[in-house]
Amino acid sequence: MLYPNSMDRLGLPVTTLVGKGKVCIVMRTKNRPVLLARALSSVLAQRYQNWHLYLVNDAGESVIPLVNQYLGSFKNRLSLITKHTSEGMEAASNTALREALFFNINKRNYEFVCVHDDDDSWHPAFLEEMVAFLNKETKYVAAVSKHQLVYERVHNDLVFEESRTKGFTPDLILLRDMLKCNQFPPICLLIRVHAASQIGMFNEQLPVLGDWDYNIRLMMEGDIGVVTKELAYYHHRRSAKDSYGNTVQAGVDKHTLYTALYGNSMLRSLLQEHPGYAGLVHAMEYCAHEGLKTIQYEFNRLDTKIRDENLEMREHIRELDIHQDVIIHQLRQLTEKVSMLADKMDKRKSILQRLTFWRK
Amino acid sequence: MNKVSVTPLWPVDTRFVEDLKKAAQDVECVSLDIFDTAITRTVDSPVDVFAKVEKHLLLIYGKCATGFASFREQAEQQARSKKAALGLQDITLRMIYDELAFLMPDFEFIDGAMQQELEVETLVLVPVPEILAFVEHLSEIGKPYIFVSDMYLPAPFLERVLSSMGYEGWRSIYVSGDVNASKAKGNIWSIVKKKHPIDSMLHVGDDNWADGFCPTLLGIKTRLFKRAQSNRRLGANLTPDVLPFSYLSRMQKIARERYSTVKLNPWYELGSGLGALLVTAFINWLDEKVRTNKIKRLYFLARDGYLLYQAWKTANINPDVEVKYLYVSRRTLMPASGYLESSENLLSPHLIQFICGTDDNTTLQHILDRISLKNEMIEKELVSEYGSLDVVIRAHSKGRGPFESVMRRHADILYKNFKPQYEATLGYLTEQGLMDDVQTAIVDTGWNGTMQRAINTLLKPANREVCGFYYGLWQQTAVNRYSSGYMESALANPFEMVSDNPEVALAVGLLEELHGSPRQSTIGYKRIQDRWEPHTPEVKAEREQYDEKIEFFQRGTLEGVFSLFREGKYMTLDIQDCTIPAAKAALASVFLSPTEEELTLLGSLGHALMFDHSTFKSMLAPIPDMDEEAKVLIEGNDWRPGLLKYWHSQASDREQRQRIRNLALTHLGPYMNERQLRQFWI
Repeated sequence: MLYPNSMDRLGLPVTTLVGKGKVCIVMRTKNRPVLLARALSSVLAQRYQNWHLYLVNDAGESVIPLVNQYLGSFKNRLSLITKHTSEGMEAASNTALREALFFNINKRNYEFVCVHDDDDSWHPAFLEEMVAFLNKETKYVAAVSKHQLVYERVHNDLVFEESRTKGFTPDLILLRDMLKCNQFPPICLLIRVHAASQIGMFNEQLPVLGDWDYNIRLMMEGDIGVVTKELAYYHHRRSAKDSYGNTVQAGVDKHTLYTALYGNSMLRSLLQEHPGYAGLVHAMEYCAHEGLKTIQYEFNRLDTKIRDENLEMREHIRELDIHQDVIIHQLRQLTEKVSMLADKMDKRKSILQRLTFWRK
Repeated sequence: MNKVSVTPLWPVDTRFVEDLKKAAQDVECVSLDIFDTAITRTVDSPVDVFAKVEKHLLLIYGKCATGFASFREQAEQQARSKKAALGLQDITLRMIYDELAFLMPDFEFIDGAMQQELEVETLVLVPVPEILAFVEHLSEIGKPYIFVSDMYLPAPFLERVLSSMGYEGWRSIYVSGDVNASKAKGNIWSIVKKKHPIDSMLHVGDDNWADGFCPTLLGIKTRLFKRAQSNRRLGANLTPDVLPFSYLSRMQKIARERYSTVKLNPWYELGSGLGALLVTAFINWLDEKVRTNKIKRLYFLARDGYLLYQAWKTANINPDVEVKYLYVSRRTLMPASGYLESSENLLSPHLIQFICGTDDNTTLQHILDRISLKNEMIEKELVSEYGSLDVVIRAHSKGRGPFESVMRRHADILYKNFKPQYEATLGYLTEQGLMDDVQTAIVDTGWNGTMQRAINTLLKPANREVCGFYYGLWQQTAVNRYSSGYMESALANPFEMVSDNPEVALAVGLLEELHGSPRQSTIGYKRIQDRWEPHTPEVKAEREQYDEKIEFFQRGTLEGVFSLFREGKYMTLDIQDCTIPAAKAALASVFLSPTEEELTLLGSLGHALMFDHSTFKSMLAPIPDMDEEAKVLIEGNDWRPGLLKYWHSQASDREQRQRIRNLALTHLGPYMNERQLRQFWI
């Protein structure tokens, strides 16, 4: 059957999807204590309190003094994992996922998993609303919320917000769009653990774009629902070149390179397994190219038409200008005549006044 | 339905009853309004019944009933807007619930909810003693009486309720929803006329228009009775969280009528209602945080922490925790911490920001005076930049630039200038035990976390740190989040939008004034007998306000807190009712949708906008002629809904009311929802 097939591969009865709703939160950090303080507060401020946080220090400076400040409030819901060698963001996430979902699956009994980057934050209603959504909408493997994009800069130990705008998350998450590019930042996403277990780890070969790769694999399992409230804050630091930079901002070149490599890899993978698809891909590319040519032709035709009409309009305007000049000339003549008449009237008036005076 | 035996709401107003008896003498029949006349509800506002229904439905049917109260209200509005198209004069309960089914498509228990509403109505309704006494008299003299009501509830239900309340022997009951005519339109009387002589009739009711004006036009004798009238809080929250305040507020009104010979101070009453609920909820929350974080010592910060300090002691909830009241202010902490972060060559951005803080009245001379800076060279440079030291430096104005440059240029002078303040402040904090090796927290109303940051900056060299617990923290807290240390807030969270908490964000001035202390702001410390004593010079206007108003509010609050923690109960409140959501709902009721009395009371407060308390502005001001002037007044006001509500109540004509509506939309629209804003459209 072509439809529906979302979540088919998970092979789970709906009743197993609604339970106690414990959330596993993965947070990776490296030398960003100023932002980590905010991220920890963001998790603690959640109205929904049934979660456990796995904080992975990716071989950065110790976060223990900072974490100690928050320890009481975590009430044993924090596991700190300290890595001694940094292997990148994806590897750090995997360390937490392994610990949370695979080694301790029976012990912790999670139903949802999410990644909360150390520089991002949530609205206090994020987990409450997202868990409620997934509990109601059992056809989705995951859910995303809308978000705000917050631009900021870090100076010494202070974080200054520069601006805040509406972030772009589509109203519907389409697999075809996801194949084109990532559709939302990781801070917006909450995944069912069943789906996360099925698709496995983050791809550690990718120094950037790991979340895109993960989301494509996620969508191969099923659909992602959208919660239309802005419940997440995606923080960007445009100017930072140090550890406080975003991978998106500070690693722009890497993103371009790996977008190309990842795209090639996707296609290569398909063609290696099914060489015959080369023909299909070629045909699709050809059709797309032909389609583009048609659009270009139509565009050129319209462009020519608009130019022609433009010329006509200009001609009309020129004629109107001439008419206007004639009218202005006539008006001037009229004004002169009126002025002459007025002079005559004045003179007559003056004469009459004198006459009146004389009569007196 | 069994007859309920209830204690009368209040002693009968015999003068009013005698007047009714007299008026009834020369008529053949008496007509009585039902709601807020013959019977009344024990909730603050009639719609609060829906919140109680939601509470019941949540218990019976679970989460699917969430939002019922709000949908129920919308359903009634939709049914009313459709009635004209259907050629109806009024609506019925059935029509409302048919609309509700569209609004709550996933809620399968519409009929069950309707039944619950009827049951809840019976639970909250009580008879009104004056009307009951009057009806007894009518029965004695054999004068017929009828009930005429504009209501969607069915007549058979109302009959059952009325007889359970002690009414008996009425001849007819006319309910607008059933007879398809209303008092508000006046056409119900033509139906009444068929059986009863309206040309020889006395009608008693509470509504000026429907019970007064309309029947009078038809020659019916009328008497208005307002004693049992409930509030119409159009902008309050409509969720089960509003119920604790709703019962409490109504009970206060009833108690006011019951003991009308004892004149209670209105500030005391506000404290024993809103204050007790709010502060108890916070103390409960604070206790939980203190235990979770293993806090052993609490410092309540002057001045806004004063009431909370008294309340914590009164509650005596956690005797293991040592409590202190710390005389600090931005004026003492900022220069001290700024000094520590600066050097002779460079002043810290925090210190610069503190020095240059202004409102619309701050002159250069005032800024220099408040930091006790007397330096000819600096004064000369400022005069050459601005022309005079009497120039006003406004907040956010570009004119601040040269001033900041002069301050930076003379970093060495300022650095030396702040040294004594640093030493005194540090000395005071040390004497108060902040350097002790004890798990410590500070408590304050909050907002930006700057005081905590300053304290922790001063404690850092000694490797000490405090955490902080607050009423509210704004998004700006993010700036200092790391350097401030651990902080949590009860009412407003920094990860929320301001529009999530308008009841706090739009009433900061009120909260600060109501929580303040009799001693004024700390401006420094003096060395007296080898100890640092806080210097808190008296500001006459602020002291008078405390003595005449705030003290009574705080007394009322503390009495409530005492009873709640000692007995577990206070008036209608249970200690379990005192939750943070209930406190926020109470704040929304009073601060966003005040009654006329509350508006007059709270509007009489003054508030200091700047940390130096140089100006003490009244919360309310007359309506200005120009919108530009209005904008300045609104933006500089710490209780915007109050100011606009006041203007709305003072508007003399339709045009002016429309102007106030536009101002409300512009200045409150970003924070308050449409439901809250509708109070400006009546």
